[in-house]
Amino acid sequence: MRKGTIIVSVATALLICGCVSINRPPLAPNYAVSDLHPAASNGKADYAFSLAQAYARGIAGVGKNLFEQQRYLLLAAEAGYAQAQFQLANNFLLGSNGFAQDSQRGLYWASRLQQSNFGMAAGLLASAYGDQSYRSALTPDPVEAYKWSLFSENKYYQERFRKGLSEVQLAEAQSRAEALRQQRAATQEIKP
Amino acid sequence: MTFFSWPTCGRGSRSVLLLAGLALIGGIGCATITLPPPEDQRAKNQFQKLAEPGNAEAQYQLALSYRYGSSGLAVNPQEALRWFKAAAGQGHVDAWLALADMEFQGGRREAGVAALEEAGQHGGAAAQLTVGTIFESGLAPTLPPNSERARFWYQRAATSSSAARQRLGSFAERGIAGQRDLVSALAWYLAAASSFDVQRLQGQLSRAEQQRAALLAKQRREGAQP
Repeated sequence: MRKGTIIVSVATALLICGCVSINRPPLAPNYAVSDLHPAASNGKADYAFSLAQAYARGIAGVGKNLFEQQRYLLLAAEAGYAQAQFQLANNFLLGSNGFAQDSQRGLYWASRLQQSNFGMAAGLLASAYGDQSYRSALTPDPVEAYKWSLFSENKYYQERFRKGLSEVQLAEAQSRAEALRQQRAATQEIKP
Repeated sequence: MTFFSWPTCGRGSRSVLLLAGLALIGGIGCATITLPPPEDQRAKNQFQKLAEPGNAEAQYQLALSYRYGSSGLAVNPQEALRWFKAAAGQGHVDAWLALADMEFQGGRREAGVAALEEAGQHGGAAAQLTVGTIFESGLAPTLPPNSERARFWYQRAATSSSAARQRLGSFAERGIAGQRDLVSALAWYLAAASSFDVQRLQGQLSRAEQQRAALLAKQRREGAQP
C-alpha cells in the first residue's frame, strides 16, 4: 500500500473516531427580537418577563437597556406574572436595579404577588422585615418577620426568624398569623 | 479479504511510521477545525423583506437590529431612528417608547417628551401606565419628574390598570399634583386591592369616611369615575 493511501486512511479513521471534529460556530442568538418581542406585545406576560431579562443582560439580539428592562418588568408584573411581581417588589424594597427605594410601592407589588403566589410573597415579606442584611425599606420587625415566615412554607425561614423571640412575641406573631388566616378564609368564601 | 496491510518496508521504517501515527493522534487527537461562521442574513431575510413593504412589527425588529447591532447588521443609530419612526408612524407603541428612550439618551428632551405622549395616545392601559411611571420618576439627566403628566396618564390607565390606581391613591394621600384627600386615596387603594395601603389608611379615617371611600371605589372599579 502506498504512503498516500496510509495517510488518507489514518485521516479518515481519525475523523470517524471523532478525534478531529469540524466546528462551524452558530449565529449569535436573536430570539429577543424575533420571538420574545412579538409574543410580549401580544400580551404574553412570561415573554415580557424574559424580554426584561434579555435587556438586563444584553443578550439574544438586544443590548443592555435599563429603560426597556424596567418597562417590560412592569408590563409582566401588571399582567400578573409572579416572578416579575417578586422582582419588582424586591427592587422597590431594596432600591436596586435602577429603582429608587420605595417601601409603599414595594409593599404594593408584594400585595399583588400575594394574589398570584401567596407563599412567595410571604417569604419575601419575612425577609424584608427580618433579614438585616437585606437592608429593605421596611422598618425591621421580628414579630412580622416570623408571622410571614409561617406562611412561606419555608422551614429554614421559620426556624431562623423564630430564634431570639420572647414568649410574648411568639404569641403575638401566632395571633397575627391566625387573624390573617381567618381574613384569607373569609375573602376566599366571598369569591364565587 | 485484506483491508489493510503494512507497507512493505523495513522494520525501522515501520517503527517510524507507527511513531508518526501516534504523534499524529497525540498531536491532533482532539483537534477541532473551526470554519468561519455562516453569513448572518437574518435581518435581511426575516425583517427587511417585510419592513420595506410596510409591516410595522418588522420595521420595529429591523430598528432593534440596527440599534443593538444584531441579526447580521452593524450598529447604526441613524438607521435605527429611521425605522423606529417608520413603525411609530403606523401607531406602533413600542416604537414610540423606543424613540422616546433614544431621544432622551441623546439629550433631546422635547422630542423625547413628544414621543412619550404619542406612546400614551396610541397605547392601551399598559402603555399609559408605563408613560405615567416614566413621568413620575423622570429619566436623569434629561427628563425631570413631572407629577402632573404622571397623574394625567395614570388617570387614563386607571379604568383597567390596578397599578395606576395605586399610584393615584398615593398621589391623593400625599397631595401630589392635586389636593390631599384621604377618602379619595382610600378609594383608589380599595379599587387597586392594595391591601397594605388600605390597612394603613383605614385606621386614619372615620367609619363614615370609610363607607364613602368604599362607594367611590366601587364606582371607580366599574370605570364610572376613572
